[in-house]
Formats: sequence, structure tokens, C-alpha cells
Amino acid sequence: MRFPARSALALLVVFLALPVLALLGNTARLLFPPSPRLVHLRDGTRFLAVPLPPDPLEKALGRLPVLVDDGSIRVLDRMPVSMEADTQAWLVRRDDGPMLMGRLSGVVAEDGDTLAGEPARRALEEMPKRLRRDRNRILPRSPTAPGAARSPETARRMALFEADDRRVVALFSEPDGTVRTARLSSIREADRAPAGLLDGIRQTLPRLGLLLLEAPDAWDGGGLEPVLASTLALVLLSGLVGGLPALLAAMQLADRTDPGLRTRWIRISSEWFSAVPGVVWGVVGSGVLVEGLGVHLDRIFAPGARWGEGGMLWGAITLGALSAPVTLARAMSAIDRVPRSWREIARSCGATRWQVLRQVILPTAARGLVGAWFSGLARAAGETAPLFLVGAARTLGRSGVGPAPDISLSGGFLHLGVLACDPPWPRTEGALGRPLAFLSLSLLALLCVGLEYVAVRLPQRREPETTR
Amino acid sequence: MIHPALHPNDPGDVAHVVFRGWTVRSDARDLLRWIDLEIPRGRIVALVGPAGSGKSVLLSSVNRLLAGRPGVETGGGVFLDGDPLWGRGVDDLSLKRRTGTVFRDAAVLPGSVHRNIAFPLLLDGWKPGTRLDDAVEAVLRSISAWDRLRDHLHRPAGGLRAGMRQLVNLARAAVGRPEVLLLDEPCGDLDPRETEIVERALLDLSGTRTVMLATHNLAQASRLPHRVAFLLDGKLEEYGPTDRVFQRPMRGSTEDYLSGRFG
Repeated sequence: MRFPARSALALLVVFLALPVLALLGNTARLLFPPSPRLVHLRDGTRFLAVPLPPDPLEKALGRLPVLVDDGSIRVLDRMPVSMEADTQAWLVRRDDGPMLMGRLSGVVAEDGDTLAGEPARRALEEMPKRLRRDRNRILPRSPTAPGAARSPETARRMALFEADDRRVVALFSEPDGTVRTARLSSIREADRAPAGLLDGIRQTLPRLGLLLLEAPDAWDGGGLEPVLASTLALVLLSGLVGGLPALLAAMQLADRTDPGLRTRWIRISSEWFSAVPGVVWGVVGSGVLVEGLGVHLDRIFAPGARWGEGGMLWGAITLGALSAPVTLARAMSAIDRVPRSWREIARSCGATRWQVLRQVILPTAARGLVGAWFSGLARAAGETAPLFLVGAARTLGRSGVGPAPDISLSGGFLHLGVLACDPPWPRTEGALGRPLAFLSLSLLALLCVGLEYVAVRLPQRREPETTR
Repeated sequence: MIHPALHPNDPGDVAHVVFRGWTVRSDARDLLRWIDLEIPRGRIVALVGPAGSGKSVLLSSVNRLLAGRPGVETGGGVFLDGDPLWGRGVDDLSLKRRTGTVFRDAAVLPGSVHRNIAFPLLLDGWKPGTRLDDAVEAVLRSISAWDRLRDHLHRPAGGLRAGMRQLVNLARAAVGRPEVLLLDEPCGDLDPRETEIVERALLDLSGTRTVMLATHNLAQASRLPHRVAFLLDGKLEEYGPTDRVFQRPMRGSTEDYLSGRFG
């Protein structure tokens, strides 16, 4: 029999190709979002719609779900006569009304100035963002009940702003000839089918920035920034409650010239513990921390407390417990790489434990220790399963997808992985050029890969001058 | 009159390091068995014997590195100038500072030559400055190594050749003015020329300090020391002035080892 290494290698290439293919496919979807199409039905009606991916039942029945003008989903019983991309059509999402699809016929100011053609297009692309920024400056971050608790000064400035901005209106014409208007300041997103790759990139980049980095817009909930921030905070917190003690423990065990039985056992068991899957830690965390400690805390500090519902602190402690063995094992091997003879020399000179640690071990092992901390962070960031059990929020606080979660130490937390597995976003997000599940998974993968890269690379950066 | 072979110490010698019934056991194995040995002040004493005979254990009983090893039991006593080195309530650190140790593998601490040599002083809280530099220069001059190392003082010690590294280690061991120098085969990894340099430095140091030198090199053992102790399987087989031990060994095992029949 031939040695099967070659076929194994081919299989490995296939495995590695899978995520790359997924990434490429989704990036293409991001660059060329489904644009409005002109749909001709058998009965002669013509309207603009965005086709959605059918679910299995719809697929079996040969039906086609489309997103129509007013933002609702209409399921077409039979395939339309034709469905051509209308590259001139815009897809507009706004705050004060349903969605709009149509060709831009002009931008009109109330004092009579009318823009058409290229200037109108530019106005539509640039003005809404600027207006919304101004408005957010007057009234930053939406309170849950808009209009509540505004100071008279804010109300006055808001009234001025509204009086000013009501005058600028975009006109859209639909295939059946009707013209609809939209206030520029109410436009959340205005997209148009990209006319090629470059145009796609030009349209996508600002949208990506909006989805990833922008703080929640007072009027629409924004992108993934709160999720990203909450995930980072959770991972960092787990590094503080789990990784840091593990590092200190490794240092505590470092001073002996000969590893004793205790050190060997701690080392071996930390390697065992790092193999325990995350969901086990999740069950333990939810049982001990949420149901046990949290419920008791609530009983003591009631009312108002909500430790018993799970939250960020419990999540961080669970992740910390799960990642501490990883950090400990790697930190101990980093310390092991400091030559034993150096410790012997230092001890023979009469160095105290602390001096051996401070003068000999730490300067050499520092990179390895920081690397160990990062590998713990990478493990913590890579685990999603336990978070379902210890209070990860499943809603994002955007209109229609549940109330805004309370992000605090005792409250819930948002996590990229949780929200990608159990997405609170409506089915139309992908079709509207907001593939949030894909983006959050990509971000999570990027975060883990980045942390692991630092963890592996940092200790390798500089070898000590001599190992002798 | 007592036969000189039975009376190893010269009348003028003062015992400095004394082992009394010293026994070391690790994991139920005897590393040293009932050692009675007096090391005279200001002399070089060579410890010879095959590998595993207990030379290194004897040295690490004096610098107390043995205490850091798990599973070690000791019996009897070791005294440095009359002060017990082992037992309840000994002050580990101050005792350690009375000895200086050089190990076989010519390893140096990370950092410059200067930092290596000054390391014991830095541990004692000395601050970098001319006083520290003077101490480093003084110890290097005392082992005639100043000319060899003065240009390397601020370069990484790990970049030196093995012989130079051992000179650095010797200077580091001597810089704190310890009473006893413990050398665990300091020339084990060196070639003859480097060995000669280190040996000369060693001779410079003896006289003011007691030196215990464990060695495999019988030529070195016959060349340098005033006295030789022969260890075999953790027992002291023979101890006496170098010439006498080499020329008229009293034990068959000593003669066999010294004449190269085993070991």
C-alpha cells in the first residue's frame, strides 16, 4: 500500500480552503449586495424588489421571497416573467417611514433650489451623514424613550435643526410613475447597485466602517461597535480574573531549581484542565456562579440587584477559569526555558526568591509570560458555548429586535459569537448589504487569530544571548 | 611520633570548613555517608572521585543549594568557621554570602560581563557607580584577568569563550569577599590553555580564601591543591596532603583510581 501522506495533504488543503472560500464568497456578497430589481409579473404589474434567499420550505414549493418597497417581505407564488437589475435604482432606509426603492429624480430644497443628475447623487450620498452627525451632536445617544428628559435648550436647538433640515428632500420615482419623498436627514442608508468592482469597493468601505466602528447612532442602533467593545471587555476582564492569577501562580512555582512533585502535578493537571471543553465550564459557571452565588447575592442585596440572571462578571469569571490552565501551562514552560544554571548561579550568590525571580527569570521569560497571557486570551475569545449559559444577551436593542440590553458588570453582555449563532437581526439584513452575522464571525475569527499570533510570536522575537 | 600519613593536617593549619558525620540521603539513596572532613583555612583542597561519588553534593552542602532540592534528608553537621550551616534556625542568606560558587558548565547570567561580576553586590543593594566599578576592577585584578576582560566589561558575557566565561564566574564568585570558594569542576569544559589561565587565577585567590575544588582532572588535582580528598560512592576514602596521596595512597581503591584503573 502506498504511504497515504500525499492524499492527507490534499485533504488538509481542502480543509484550509473551506474558510477561505467562505470568506471570499461573503466578501463578494458584501461588495455586490443584492440590488433592487425590476420585477415583471405575469399579470403585468411591475415593481422594484430585492430577492431574498428562500428558506427550505419556500425552496421546495418553488416560491421566491422578495423584499418590496415598503420593507415587507412578499412571497411570490410563481417565478416572475423577468427580473432585471435596475442599476439606477436606489434602496433607501429611513427613520420616519418605510423603505424606499426608486430612481433618484432630484434633490429639492424648499427655497426652490433643485439638484438633478450627478450633484443630486452626491447630495444623497453625503448630506444624510452630515445632517445626522449634527443632530447626534445636539442630542447624543438615544434615550430609550425619545423626547423624554430634554432640556429646554436642547429642545430649542433641536427645533431649529428640524426647521432647517425639513426643507431638503430627495425625490424618488417608482416604475409605476409615483414619486415619493424622503427627508435627507432621516435617511439611514442609501445604496445603489454598484457599477463594477471599483464602485462596489467605493460603496462598501464606508458602509463597513459604519457597521464595524461607528458608535450607535441615536436614531438607528448603528453597527457592531457595541458588540465588539463588549466582547473585548469580556475577554480582557477574563484575562484579569483568570490569566493574571495564573501568571502569578507560575511565578510562585518558578523559584525552585528542581521541579518538585507539587510543581509537576500542577503542571500536568493544568494541561488536563486546558483540554476540558468550554461547554463544561459554561455549565459549571452557570451552576456555581449564576444559580448559586448570584441568586444568593440577589437574596442578600435585593431589591434591584440582578446577579442571579447571569452577566458580564460571571461570563468573565467562567472564561477566566477556562483560560487560566492554558495560561498556567504556557507560563510554566516559558519559565522552564530560562536555563536552570542561571537560577543556580543566582541562588549561590545568595539571591532571595524574589531576587531570582526579578533579576534572572523575569527579564528572560517576560515575553514568554506575556505570550502565555495572550494565549489564555485567545482561548477565552475562542469560546462561545459557555457564554450562552452565563448571561449573554441575545438582543441588540435595535428597533424590532428586542430591547437594548443593560451592559454592566452585573448586567448582560454582547458577544460576537453568540449574536452570530443566534442572530437578532431580521432576515433582510444580508439583502440590505448588512451581513452582520458574517461580519461578527469574521471579527471573532480575526480576534482569536490575532491573539494567538501574538501569543506564539511574542516569545520568539528575541532569543537570549546564550542558552548556556 | 605520628606518621604524617595518619595526620593529614599540618600543625599550623586551622580548620575552616568542618564536616562531622555528614550524611545526605535523597529518595532513600545515600548520596553522602558519614563524612568527617576538615578543610584548612586558606588552602586549596581537591575533591576527586568518579562521577556520582558525591563531590558536588559535598559542595552544595556548603553553599546550601542542597536545601532547595526536594526530597533531601541530611544528618550530622557542617560548620563554617564554627557556625553550623545546617539545622534549625540557620540564616540561609547570610551563610550563602560567605561562600562563592563556580559551576562546571561555564554558564553566565544574561547581561554584560560587568553585571555578571557585580551581581552579588547588586543583590546586596549596591548602586551602579564608581564604587561598584572599582570593586569589579579590584576583583578582576586579583585574579589577573583585568587586562583580558577590561574591553569586554560592557558586552554580553554570553558572547565570550568558555575560558573567559569561567574567569567571569570566578570573579563573580570572589567579588563579595567570601571566605570559601566552591568550584565544581570549573575547568571541565575548557581546553588546556584556558584551563591554565583559570588555574592561575585560582592560585591568585588561594591564600586569602579557602578553596574546595571538585575535579575529574587528576593532573589538575596533583598540580594545584595542598590537599586531596578521594570520594567513592558517597564515602570519604582518603584525605591527605597531595604528594602523599598521589605517591603513597593508603587504600587500594585510591591507588586504582589515581593510577587510572577505573573511574
